[in-house]
Amino acid sequence: MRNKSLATQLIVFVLSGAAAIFLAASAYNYYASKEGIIRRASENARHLTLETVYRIEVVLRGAEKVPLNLAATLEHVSCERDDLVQLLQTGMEHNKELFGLGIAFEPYAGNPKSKYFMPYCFRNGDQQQLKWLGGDSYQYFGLDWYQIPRELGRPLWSAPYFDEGAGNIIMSTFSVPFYRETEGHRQLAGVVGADLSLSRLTDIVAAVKIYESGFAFLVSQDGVFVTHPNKDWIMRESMFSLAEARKSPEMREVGRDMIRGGEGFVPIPASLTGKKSWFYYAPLPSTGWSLGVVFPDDELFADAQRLVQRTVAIAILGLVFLAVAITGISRRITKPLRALARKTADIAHGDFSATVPETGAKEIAHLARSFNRMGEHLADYIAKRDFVRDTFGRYVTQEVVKKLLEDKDALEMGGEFREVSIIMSDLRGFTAITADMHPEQVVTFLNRYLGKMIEILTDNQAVIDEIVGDGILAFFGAPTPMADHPARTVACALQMQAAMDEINALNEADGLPYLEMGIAVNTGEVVVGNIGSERRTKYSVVGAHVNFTSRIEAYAMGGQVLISPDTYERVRDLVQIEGEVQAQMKGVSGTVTLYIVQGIGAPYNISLTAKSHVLTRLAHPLAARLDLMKDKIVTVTIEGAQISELGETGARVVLQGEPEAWQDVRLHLLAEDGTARPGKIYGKVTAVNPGADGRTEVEIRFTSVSPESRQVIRQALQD
Amino acid sequence: MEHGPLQYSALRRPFRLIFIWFLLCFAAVGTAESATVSFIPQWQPQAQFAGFYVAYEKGFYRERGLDVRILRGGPEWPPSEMLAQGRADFGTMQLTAGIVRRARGVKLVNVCQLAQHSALMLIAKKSSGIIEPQDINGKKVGLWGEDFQGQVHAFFRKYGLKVQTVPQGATLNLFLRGGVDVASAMWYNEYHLLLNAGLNPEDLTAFFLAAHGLNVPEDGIYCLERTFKEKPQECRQFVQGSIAGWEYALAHPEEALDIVMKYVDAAHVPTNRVHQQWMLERLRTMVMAAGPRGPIGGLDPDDYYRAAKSLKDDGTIREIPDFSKFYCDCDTPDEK
Repeated sequence: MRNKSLATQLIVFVLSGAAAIFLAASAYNYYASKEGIIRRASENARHLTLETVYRIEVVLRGAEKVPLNLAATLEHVSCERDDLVQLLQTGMEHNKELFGLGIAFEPYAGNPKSKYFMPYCFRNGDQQQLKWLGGDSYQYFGLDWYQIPRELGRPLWSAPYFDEGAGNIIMSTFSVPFYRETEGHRQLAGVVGADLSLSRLTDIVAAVKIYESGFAFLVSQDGVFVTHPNKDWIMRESMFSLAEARKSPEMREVGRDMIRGGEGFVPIPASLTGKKSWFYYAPLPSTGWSLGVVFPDDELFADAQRLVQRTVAIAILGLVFLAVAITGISRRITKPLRALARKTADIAHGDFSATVPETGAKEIAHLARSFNRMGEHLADYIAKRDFVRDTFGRYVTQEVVKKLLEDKDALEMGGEFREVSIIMSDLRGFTAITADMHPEQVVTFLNRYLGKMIEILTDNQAVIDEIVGDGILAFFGAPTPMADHPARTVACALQMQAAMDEINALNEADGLPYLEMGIAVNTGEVVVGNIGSERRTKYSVVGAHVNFTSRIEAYAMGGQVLISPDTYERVRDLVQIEGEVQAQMKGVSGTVTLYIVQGIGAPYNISLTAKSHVLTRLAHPLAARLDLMKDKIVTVTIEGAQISELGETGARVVLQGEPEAWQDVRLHLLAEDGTARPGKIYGKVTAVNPGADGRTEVEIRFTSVSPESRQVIRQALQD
Repeated sequence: MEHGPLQYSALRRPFRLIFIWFLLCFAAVGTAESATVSFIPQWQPQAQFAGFYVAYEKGFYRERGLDVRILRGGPEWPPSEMLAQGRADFGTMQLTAGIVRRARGVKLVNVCQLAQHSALMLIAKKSSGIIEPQDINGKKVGLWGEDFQGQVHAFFRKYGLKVQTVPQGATLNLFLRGGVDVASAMWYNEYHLLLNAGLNPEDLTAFFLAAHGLNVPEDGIYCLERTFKEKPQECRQFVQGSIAGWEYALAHPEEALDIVMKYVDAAHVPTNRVHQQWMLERLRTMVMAAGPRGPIGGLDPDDYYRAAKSLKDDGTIREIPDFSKFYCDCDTPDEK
């Protein structure tokens, strides 16, 4: 039922409910009317039976009169042979129903010379015939018709019997004993017997017609069938033999009640008569026989059954109509639902544009509307999600995105210790260079650089932790473990550094400043994880090694890849080292040796083209002004500086003052009139040497040279 | 009221014709080896003689080389007379009837004692107050002919009963109407007729004479002594065929009933199948009672003398015929 269609369920529930109500109502109607019918039928049956009984009794009583009168006569009159014959013949004429009439005397009572004495008058066709009976061949004293009334001392009807001699008809004899006074005793003198053919009785009984196939039958005082539509039963079967053959104790009880002279109206099961019937029986008082009338149940209740049949037919038509209507309605109800199911399947398969018409019943239309809204929201949501994923992927590697999208647990806050290699890059003097640039130019300028860097990092499966301005922090070895992360990081750093030539070529073509980038690589154990809050989270690295990397990066000159001792330890067999830098690190005692990597071997095979850091002694030193910077703020301005040696990437400057090594500086080239030329040069102090005249000679590596300044430098070098 | 004599005399004539026709048929088709014998049961066709009808219908006589004509039995044709007059070769009789005839000079021999057990009983309605044998004292008792009276009188003597006897006819109507208090009955026949007349077993008090130490075997096969001497082969064939018929009938009661009813219908006997079924089942216990004592058909000398003594005590016979003259075993060693 649970998986059946709505139409089926409705049909089953509604139809069974309707059918049950109908059945109950019509069953009540049927039984109520049936009870009335049974009552009426019982009355009819009783009347019919009693009427038949009465008609039979009339015949029997009529037949009794002649022998009763004859016996009364014989008690008082002693007759001669001829008188007896005369009496018999008169009696026979008196009642045409009698087949025979006889007077049988007790031994020697009728004729002192004869033991047997019995004149018998009987019909032979239209003639009366006389016979003298009795003798060895006909010892009537032992026969029922004589012996029973003799022993009982009262008249009675014999059990019916077949008289084959009289033409196979059923007879019964009414016997009346008669007595005479002999020596003061009333003594039995003989028995008057009257043979009655029962053919008239059987005709009367056979004429009883009840409905179509109802019938009546007569049983003897012993329950034997005297008449019955089934001829084979007559005089052979009794109520009791049938009861035994059919194993029906109920039938036996009815039989017993019949022969006891009872009267009743009982149902008979189909097993006894072939169909369910009702049975009325009543006694024939004169004989002790019983008349039974059988009413077939179906005929008795034919009207009631016809009524039921018609009601059932109407009900079936009604139920069929109801079924069709329910099917129609439910199909109409479910049509949008089925459409909805189809469309839902479409959505399930990714077609978010699927919509359903917002029509039909109120609830259905509401559902359709909700469904369409859902589709729209889903499409919207998916679009947003895709946008988020794509956008996200621009900042985060696909690896992380994938992991986050696929694994909900990956979004769990918290973290783990992991050994990673960290890469940190920065453009030298970027802020200063862009300070005077148009914002759109800044973005183009920056995006060109970042685009390239991100591409390289992503290709190398780095996780880009942070991009702040021109600075990039990325790491390798998490979330997916990476066995060769130190080497890969160094290779990636080299690729990035190498890519700067391409970027600078483009920048130069666009009239943008020349850029130099410093990269630091460090390897060490850090905490990795989703850092942030539920609202904003970043897969990030935290730890001393991150800070340490940042510090190494500060030592990296433009174009250099500087690696920490830890990284170096891991890649020393692979890399070519260009030089070492002894750096003093905050929080670390003594100096730390950092390595400038020039290239890396198989399978990466990358090496940086050596930059010419050659300085040319100028014939005419250039006047310059030097700003000492700290955190991008000019702290000291040193006037009167003289550039003694100059190259594309650096300069040797003699000045008055004490700049520190690795200090950021800004160099202004001055015109002959002492005014600053257009353009800026940023750099780092790489060496500080005492010079002549108490002046100091410092070496500066340029990290950023504006195009104007580049031109001045080239001019000066040509001169 | 003339139904008795008229009925049977009317039937006699056509039946005789049938028998003659049968004889002609058998004379025409009979082979030189098959002997023809006739057999008459002591009553109308009923299951009491099922074995004989079955033996005939199933060809048990013929397969032993014997052509048997089964004559219609009934009260007018007592087998003793039919045998004495040479109108039948074999007949069935109650053991007591056989003894009485032999004692009176009819040279009959018993060639097979079929029913080992007495089915004779006295029946009273409980409503007449008869529960114990003593209750019969002073009552009216219906008695059959003298062949049956020896046992009943022995019963009266045993319990010191004085009763008024009334001759009991062919029906039980006298008893049913209350003309007698006690009726003679056979367990296989009249007892069930009473049930079939609407009396319930609990309505009745039944005294089985066998249960009161008065068992007398009943039906047996008889022939004239002369027949037995002259035609020992036919005697043996008839007895063996009859026993085979009985064994088959008891093993296949429904088929046997079909056969019995065929004979019943042909003779217009006013009976029915359930009654014949009852009879056959009672006959089973009577015939099979031979089992523990020997093969079917044997007559026990003790049974014989007990039966004969009751008849002598009753005055029915004066002398007890010699057992060895009375009973002839067809399977005596020299004939086997």
